[in-house]
Amino acid sequence: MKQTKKQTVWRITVGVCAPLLLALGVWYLYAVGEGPGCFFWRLTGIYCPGCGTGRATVALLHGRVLLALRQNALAVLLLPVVCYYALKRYLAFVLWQDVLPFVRVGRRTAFAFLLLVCLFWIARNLPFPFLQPI
Amino acid sequence: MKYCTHCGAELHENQVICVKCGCMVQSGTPAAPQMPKKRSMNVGMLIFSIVNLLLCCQPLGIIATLFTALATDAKSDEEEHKKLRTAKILNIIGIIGAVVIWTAYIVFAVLLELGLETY
Repeated sequence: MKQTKKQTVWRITVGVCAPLLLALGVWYLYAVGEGPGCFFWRLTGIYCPGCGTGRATVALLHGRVLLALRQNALAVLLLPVVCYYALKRYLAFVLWQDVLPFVRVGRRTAFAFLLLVCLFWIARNLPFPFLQPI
Repeated sequence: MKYCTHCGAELHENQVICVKCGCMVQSGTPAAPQMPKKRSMNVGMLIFSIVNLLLCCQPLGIIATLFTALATDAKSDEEEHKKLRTAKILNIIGIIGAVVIWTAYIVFAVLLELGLETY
């Protein structure tokens, strides 16, 4: 399929801007040391499954893997999958072909993941502090 | 047991026209009954929903993940498309909402910082 000039310009723009935005986000987290915080937690006082993701990313950026797992183990485990998929989509968009493979995900896996998220959500709001972010 | 060679419907042994699709039943090897089409998971939408679930809006993220998973059970392409579209809309609402709130928070934090430095 032949690319039009408009598509090529759009691809180059996204190809340059997406890594720049990512670098800006990473720099912000590295320099400031925390994200804007969880609004769900501020409103309800309940830890959500994503609470501590910003702090976990900051810990990872500083090479502190154990602290990152302590902040949000679920997010740290999912981060490589999400990053790989984002890279796959980015390359597919920029290079005009899907170069990276990805596993097939079944319905059972999706429901198991939802169950895991719900259990994690409940577990980190129990009076045991080991799953709560610090 | 005999099956329609066109639509796979179950037929009587002496039936020559299928009552389901109206086609003439050919003699020879019977066609296997039509199974519902197995749909693969839309991984992109699933990951979009996971990002929404963890970083943006948890309730919308959960519903979007559920819709993405249930789209594999859709009986028609239209139903699958509708479920995925619902998931996409929920994810877009969650992510735009989060981006707006975060941007406002950062802008106010920066303005507050600048204001404190001025006075």
